This record gives sequence, C-alpha cells and structure tokens, in this order.
Amino acid sequence: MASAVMATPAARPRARGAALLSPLLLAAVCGVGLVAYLYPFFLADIDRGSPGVVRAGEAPLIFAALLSLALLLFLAELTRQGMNAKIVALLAVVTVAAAALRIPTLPAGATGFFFFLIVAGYVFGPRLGFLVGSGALFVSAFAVGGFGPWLPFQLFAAGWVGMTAGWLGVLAGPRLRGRGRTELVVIAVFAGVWGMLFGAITNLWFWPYVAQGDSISWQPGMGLGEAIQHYWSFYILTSAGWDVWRTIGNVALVLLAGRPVLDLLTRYRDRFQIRFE
Amino acid sequence: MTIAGEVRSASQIGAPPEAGHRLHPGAWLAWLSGGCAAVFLTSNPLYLSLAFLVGTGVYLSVRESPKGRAFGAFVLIGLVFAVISIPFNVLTGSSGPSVIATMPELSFPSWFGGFTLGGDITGESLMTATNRALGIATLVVFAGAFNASIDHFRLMRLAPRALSQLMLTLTVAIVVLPQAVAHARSVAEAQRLRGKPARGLRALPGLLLPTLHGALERSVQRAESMDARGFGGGDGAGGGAFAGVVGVLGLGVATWGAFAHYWYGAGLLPTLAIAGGVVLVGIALLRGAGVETTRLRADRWAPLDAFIAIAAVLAVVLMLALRMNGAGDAGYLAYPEVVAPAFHPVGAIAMLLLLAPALASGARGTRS
Amino acid sequence: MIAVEGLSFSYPQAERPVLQEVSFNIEPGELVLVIGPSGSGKSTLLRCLNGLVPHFHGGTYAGSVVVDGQSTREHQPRDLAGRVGMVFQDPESQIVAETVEDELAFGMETAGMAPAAMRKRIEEVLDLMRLAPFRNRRLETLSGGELQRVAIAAVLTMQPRVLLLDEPTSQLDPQAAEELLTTVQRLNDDLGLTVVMAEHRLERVVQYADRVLYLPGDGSVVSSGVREAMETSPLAPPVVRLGRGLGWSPVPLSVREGRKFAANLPAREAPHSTNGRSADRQPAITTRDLHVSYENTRALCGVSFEAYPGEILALMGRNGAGKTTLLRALAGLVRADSGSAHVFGMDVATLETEELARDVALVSQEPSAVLYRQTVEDEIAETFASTGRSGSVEEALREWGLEELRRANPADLSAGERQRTALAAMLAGRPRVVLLDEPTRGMDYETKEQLVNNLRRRCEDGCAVVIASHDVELVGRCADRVLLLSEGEVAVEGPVREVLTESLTFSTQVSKLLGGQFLTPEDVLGEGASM
Repeated sequence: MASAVMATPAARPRARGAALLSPLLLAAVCGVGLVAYLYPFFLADIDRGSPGVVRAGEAPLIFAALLSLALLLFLAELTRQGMNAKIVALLAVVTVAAAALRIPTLPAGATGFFFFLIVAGYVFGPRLGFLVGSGALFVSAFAVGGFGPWLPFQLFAAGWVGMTAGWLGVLAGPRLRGRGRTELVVIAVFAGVWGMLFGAITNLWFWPYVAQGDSISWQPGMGLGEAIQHYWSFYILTSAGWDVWRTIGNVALVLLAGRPVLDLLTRYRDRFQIRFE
Repeated sequence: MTIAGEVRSASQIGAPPEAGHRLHPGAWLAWLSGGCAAVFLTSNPLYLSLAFLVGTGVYLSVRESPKGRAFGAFVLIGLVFAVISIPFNVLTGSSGPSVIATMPELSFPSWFGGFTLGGDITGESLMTATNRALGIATLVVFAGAFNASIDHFRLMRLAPRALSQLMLTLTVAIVVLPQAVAHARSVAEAQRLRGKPARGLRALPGLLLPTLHGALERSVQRAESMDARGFGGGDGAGGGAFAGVVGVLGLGVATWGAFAHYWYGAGLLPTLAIAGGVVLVGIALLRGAGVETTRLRADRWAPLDAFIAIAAVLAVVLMLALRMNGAGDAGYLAYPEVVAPAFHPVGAIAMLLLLAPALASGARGTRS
Repeated sequence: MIAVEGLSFSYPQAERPVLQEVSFNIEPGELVLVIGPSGSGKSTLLRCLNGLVPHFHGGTYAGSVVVDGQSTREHQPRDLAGRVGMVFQDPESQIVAETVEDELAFGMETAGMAPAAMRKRIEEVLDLMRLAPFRNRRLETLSGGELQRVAIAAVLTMQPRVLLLDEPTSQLDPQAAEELLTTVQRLNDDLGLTVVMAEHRLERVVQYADRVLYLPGDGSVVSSGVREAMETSPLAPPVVRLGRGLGWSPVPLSVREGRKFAANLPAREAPHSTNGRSADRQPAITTRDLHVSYENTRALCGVSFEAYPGEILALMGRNGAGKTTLLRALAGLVRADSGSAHVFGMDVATLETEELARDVALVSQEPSAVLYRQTVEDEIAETFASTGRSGSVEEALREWGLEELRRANPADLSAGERQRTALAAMLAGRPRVVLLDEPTRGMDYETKEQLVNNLRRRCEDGCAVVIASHDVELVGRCADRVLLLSEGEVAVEGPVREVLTESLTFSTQVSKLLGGQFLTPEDVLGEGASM
C-alpha cells in the first residue's frame, strides 16, 4: 500500500523545495529567539538598572525580526501545504480561539491559553504550533494590554510551547493514539512542565539586568553551573509561587477538557489527510 | 468572507436597496492606520479625549449596518476592558508625589520589578492609566467603525496575490469572532430547548466546545467552497514570491519603526523606517497587482475617498510635527509630577480631521 | 464527459468505504440525478467528480475519475474550477464576497480574466439566472433561494462544462426550490450543460432527468435510465408510486404524464374526512389573540387557535407569514407583546424555556445548531439528563433508525441524518407537545415516511404535534388539520382535506391528478401499499 500524505503528483516538485524551506525558517526564528534571550550572558559588562529601559531599545528590533520570519514561515508553510484555503481557515480559527482563551483568567492567573495551544500544537505539528503560539499571544496582547519590552520574548516562548507540543505529537502521538488515558496523562505532564518553564524562560529577558541579591543574580563571566544555581534561586523566590498555579491550571484543564478538544482538532487534521491506494 | 449568515437572522425583514457609492476600502484602511498612528503619537489626554469622541462619532455614523450590529458586542467589551484597566493599573503600580488616597498595600520584593498592590494612589499614576485607557478605548472604537463599514471581501482583494493568503487569514480571524458569538447564541438556545437550566456565565463552559466546533466547521466549509471555485489556483510563483518577501520585509521594517516610536518616542530613524517599510509594502502591492489576478472593476477612488485618505495622512503629519516641535505637549507625561497638559490647536485640528468618514456619510445622507 | 473507474473511497476512521469499486460514465449534455437514502454517499460522490475528494477531504482513495479529459488525481479542485462547477447544500456557507457582483466575479478574478470579458459574462449570467435586479445587493439581504441562485450564477461565470449540485434545494422552501430546479433544467436544455445533481425532491425534477445514479447505501452505485429506475426505486415521488400501485405502464414521471391514465380510471370513493378535533378533550395548546413583534416588524397579530392531544396540526403559509415565530412563542423563546398562550394549562409567559422543555419540544430548522455533543448517543442522553425524564437511548435510536450511527459525530453526518438525530434527541424526553419547524428539509421519501409513522405513534400516546411546513406532500400525508397563516394572521383553518383540495397552490401531486379529496397515493391504494 503506497501512501502519500498531502502531496499530489502535480504539487510535488515545488513542494519539495518548500519542504526544506519551512524547517529552515523555523530554525531561523528559533535562532533569533535564542540570540535575543542569551546574548546578554556573553557581554563582558552589563548595565544594571531597570531592565525595562535597557531592553526596550532592542525590543522593537527583536519584534520586527520575529514578525518577518514568522510571516515568511507562514507563507512557506502554505506553499508546502499546496496554498490551501483550508489550512488558512483552520489556522485562523485556532489562533483566534487560543487568543480568546487568554483573556478570561481562571483563579490565580491560570488561563486556557496554554492548554489550548498545547493541544493544537500536539495535533497540528511543530511549525503550525509555533505560528499559533506566537500569533495567538500577539493577538491577545491587544486585548490584555500586554505591549511592552517583554512582548517579543513572550512571543518566542509561546511559539516554543506550540512547537515542542508539535514535536511531542510527532514523536509520541502515533504510539499514544487510541490509548486515551495514557495520551491525556502524557499531555498533562507536558502542559504542567510548560506551566513552570514558560515563567522560567520569560524571566530570562530581564534576569541578567537584575542588580539586587548577590546569590540570585547574574554576574558577567559566571560559569554555567553557578548561573543555573543562581537563576534557580531567583526563580523559586520570585515566580515559582505564581507558576505553580498556572501548572495546576494547565494539568487540570488537560485532564478535564483535553479529550473532547483533542478529538475535535484531530478530526479536522485527519479530514485533510489523503492516502492513495 | 462574509458574516451574512449570522447577520441575516438579525436583519432579515425588509431588504433595503443598496446605497449608491460605498467608501473605498483603501480609504477606510488609510483612515484606520492614520487614526491609530495619530493616537500612538500622543499621550496628551486632551487630544486623546478628542480622538475618542471623534472615533465614537464615526462609529455611531456607521454602526447601523447589519455588520455594525454584529461587531457591537466587541466594541462594548473593548470599552469595558479599557475602563477596568484604570483601577487595575493604578492599584498595581502607583508612584509619584501627588497622593490622592491611600489603600491597604501589599508589596513585592524590590528586585521583582518592585511593584506594590494598593498603597498610595497618586495623581500621576491615575493620569497615566486614564491616558492609556483612553488610547485603548479610542483604538477600539476606531476598529469598531472600520469593521462595521468595511467590505471584508474587498479589503482582502487589496492584498497582492502573494499576500492574499495572509490577508485571508486575517479576514477569517476578524470575522470568526462575531460568527462564533452568533453560533454560541444558537447553541445556548438549543440547550435551553433541551431543558438545560444554565444561563449567563455558568453556561459558558458548556458553550465553548460547541462554539469552537461550529467556528471550525463553518470556516472549513467556506474554505472548501473557495477551493472549488479556484481560489489559490494557477502557480503564482516568481513575481508572487518576490512580492511576498518584499512585503514581509516592508512590514518588518515598518513594525520596528512603529514600535520604536511607541516605546521610546519619535526619532528620525524610526520615522524613516516607517516610511521605508510603507514604500516596500507599496512595491509589493504594485508588483503583486501585476500577477495573475484581475479585478472586475477597480474600486473607484471617488473625491470623498481621497478626502478621507488625505485627511488621515494630514492628521498623522500634524501630530508628528507637533510632537517633534514640542509645542502643545503631544508627548505629555504625568511624571515626575502631574500638571495640567498644555493645548495647541494643531493637535485638535489633527484629531478633528479624523472625523472625515462621518462627514462623508453625512454628505451622502443629505444628497440621497 | 465524466469517466469514473474503480473508484473507492473511505473517510478516515470509517468502518466501511462510502464508495466501493464504482464505475460509470456520464455523457456530455446529460442531466443525471443522484438518489439514495441519506448518508449513502451522494455528497461524497459529487465531491469526487471535481477533486474535492481526495484533495480537500482526506481518506483512503483508489481508482480514477477523469472529467473533461483531466484526472482528478493530478489536478486540484481549484485547477478544475474552470471545467467543473459545484454548488453546495447550504447557500450561506459557500458565499465569499459581500455583494452579488463581487460574488459572481470572484472565480474569474482569481483565474485572471480580463475585466472586459468578465463584465460580458456577468451580464450574461445575470440575465440567465434572472438576477439582474439584485446585482448591487448585499448578499445578506437576499433570501435563501436567491442566494442559492447567486451561488449557481457564480459558478456559471466560469463557463464550466459540468455543473455539480449537492442537494441545492435542501435549505429552500418549495417555491424557491421549484424555481431553482426549473432554472437548472433550463441550463441543461439551453446550454447543453452536463448536470449531475443529488436531489430528493424528485417530483420536481424526475421528468427532466436522463439518467439516475442510485446509491443504495452499501458503497455501490447503480446507473440506469430514469424510467427504468422509477419502475423499481424505493425512492419515488407520489405520482410514480400511484402509477406503480395502479399498474400504469409506462410509469408516469409527472402529473402531466399521469393525466391520460387518470382519465380512464373508474370513479372511486373518496376517503372520508377525518377530523382530529374532539370536543370532549381539553386542548393541549391554546392561544388567545397572540401578538408578537421584532424591533419594528409585526410577526404575529392576534393569533388564536387550539391544538388537541392526538392530532397533527400543520402550519402553512408563505415565508415570513409567522410560522416560525408562532412555534418559538409556544416554546417560550420569544415573548408575546399581548395575548396569551397556554400549554396543558400552563401559561407560557410565566415559564422559562428550560422549564417548558419537559413538556414542549421544538425542533428548529437548522439541525446543526441544535446538536452540540460529540456522538449521536450523547445527544439523546443529554435530553434525558437535562429534562430529568428517564428513557432508553436504545429505543430512541431504534425509533429513528440511528442504531448504526450511535457512535458517529453529528458533524460527520449527512444533512438528512443530522435532521433525524435532532428529532431523536429533542423528542427522546417524551414531550407532550411536539413543535417541528420544516422537519423535511433534506429528507428523502423513506425518511419522511419514518417521520410520519413516528409522529402518528406519538399522537396515539396523547401527544399534540404542530408542524410548520411548506411540504404539501407531508402535510397531505399526516396532518389532521391545517392552519394557514398570512402576514401574522390566521387566514384559513380547517381539516386537511378541505384546505388542501380547495387550494390552488397548496395541493399535492395526487390531488392535482385525481382531484376530489385524494391527497396521497395511500388514499387511493390504501395503507401499506406505499412501496
């Protein structure tokens, strides 16, 4: 049984070029994000003080780079999928839904955003996952007034949530399919981890600039082990308390509402997969 | 994309004949961008209040379309959010010398941004929060007016072929919300018919999944119909891809400029970047327009459309000039100590220029 | 024109293929009807003919479809758009633009046609489809029938060689449906357009068809001449059933063809008028001088009527006459401005819809909006849970023939199956009053028969049924009394045989043929002779 998913003979030659292009673009986006997050750690001297001021200068640039690359990824992804109106429709609806879920806040700051994003990424794969994550966070920033120098960093992190959920779907999805409970538990654990990790990653944008507390702040030239130890203390002290709620919220939502949403989105993905015999 | 289906139920009876000339979508787009830019350029509460009134005036002049009614709920929600954001911002970060009131306070460690919940409420923070809320509310009514009056299909057609998918995504995204609300309403009705007593907020969780489902189903059906009618057909390679990349680059550069403006004030470089970005997008549009697609009739630029677009550009130019000149407190800051903002007639003129679409529709109204 | 060979297709996760080893040819200029029970794969078959299957809908696909020399395997639907035009069931979900002209131009614009050529074609198509007065109208101001005509026009501007119509009338009222089908027949006649149409209102089209593709529901497709198909098909319009029952040969396909046989028919005793009203019983529904208005439009002005347990009352009348409003008022969804409505003595005005739901079931026109659970079973169980009535899901599934679909997601079902699911779910709680709004949209003859039987059974249990319908054949088959609404007022009220036989527009095929008080083939042939 020869199978060819989502590619028809006529579409193949161009699709092959595009198939290379979109992973490259995704890698480029991620590269920009990593550089934006990590370069302060390689500076010999850091101008401590209000991180908001220091990093605000770079934020527009990072944001513009992210926007351009993400849009190119989107265009490449469409070409790869054969310029399909259905992918466009799906992506738009899922993104808006995720964005809308960020607005009503559950007790203690948890929202349905991560839950939905993770399930969507798990179903639709790493590239669409990244696009949904950063796209939805951007859209919701209008509604929750989340514009500030932190925004591009949050966009990267949200994109990574979707992207890694996509990897989880690619790697574990086929094995977990049909094993309802296990699949849900795996996703719940994943969502729980991201509940903490999202805070831990997004705090990195200002951490190198934090001046107070020698044992919890960054010193230029610090070794990796020591840096991790300092950051860990910083994280536990400052954010862990909040992030625990997000983690609990994520896990609870996946366990409670994960199954129907997963089934619903999977239905739409499967509806588009063709197998020729 | 249309929201005809949802709108139909609301406005079924009586089909009025179409009004002769509708404003060009490009004119509306120019108005929206000009309005948003002008609002971004100032933080002076006097100009912002004026902009809000102007935006509300335009919104009210176009609200009575079926689509206006569909988007009405979103304008309302946006305004409520804007108002709520004032106490929220004041309570989470008040500083400055002019203390108005003192609330019980809860402090966070200074190295964690050092913000305090409650505590002294200062005039400075109240003024800043009010200004920000005014800005958001103004953008909301601008967006409301734009969405109520624009023909989303024609808007989509303004994009070059290479960006048409992007534009389609945006259009689906804009239209999906009112559709989803309409669908949620009919699901809620169905649940009541089945004897489910949940109403109001408690019914919400039970509505979310069916609503998502309905939105997906409708969008996919429409995508199917578009596919069957040749949308995205042919091979728009070459010039299309080039236009796409140029357009995206232009957007990127312009975005950098806009955010640089927003975050650290007007400078020559950000202004140049915005202009350059717009030029690049323009090149993409022109290049893209030559590729493949044709138009039954190019949307006509009537004098009214030109009037609106010029007024919008003029508003931005005036506001920018005011801000760079420093007169009239365009870049008003409540810190270090709150004082009454200064006022310059040019700022008021800039905002009043944005009233153009309302005047235009008034002009049409009296003529017919 | 179309060559299908060895075509097999199954949807993802489906147990059985929808189409299995199907082969047939369609000649240029033919008008081919695709018939079959709901869920037998009519829509899927049509989607195979323009490449939406397999390019848009996923699944397992084998075999080949060649349309006008182009294989659908190698060509995407959008590349075939110039050769094959497709019109879908729901006019609202297929429109793209916001005005009629824009909608018509959409396909040509994406194909990059010169503006002058576009304008010429638009003029031609506007005239052909009689849409010229609407050219600048906004689409949301059009009625469903007009919208469906726009959808066809939008496809015709591409000058396709083949027109595929997927139950184009299932969302339309009979007048609009008839108009639409006449237009389709003219397109086939005048332009020589090859038409492939899935349709269940056979009484309107069967006489124009050249051939029938019958899908029995097991994955096969039987292709035969139309008269040959009508000799045996279980799906047949009333006049064909009458002709078959009386042994007329060749079987008449239209009332006109039946006349010459009817002229020679010996006089028969007319069935006596049944009157459901019985004075000794308490009415189930009573309204007195009911007034309802929306915004500034009066929807109902002074409606007074009664409906009794054990009877089926039909609400008829033009679009906008107030039928739907009346039903919604009885279910408590709209509030009356004045007047009163009582259901089994309960004042509707004092009760919420959800409180009424135990006794009153309203099945609205749009089944997809009523269904919100993930499986058919869950939909039925939901009713038991929320009304607090006990009952058996099994029984409800059996009553509506849904046993095999119990685990299916309602969104995956065909239009007819979804309608049945909605009926099964809403009526599962054994309500004492059943209100149905256009229940037969998209239903084939067999399903209608099932509906009639189920409703009759409910009546025997003391239930009162009110059906708002344009479907004259259904009303003739099952109603006891008819209430004709006009502009929100009761125009006529009376027993079905009086109202339908005295009417010029509201009369059934059999009554047109035989006159008198014969309404259905069963009136002539007796019950049980319907096959």
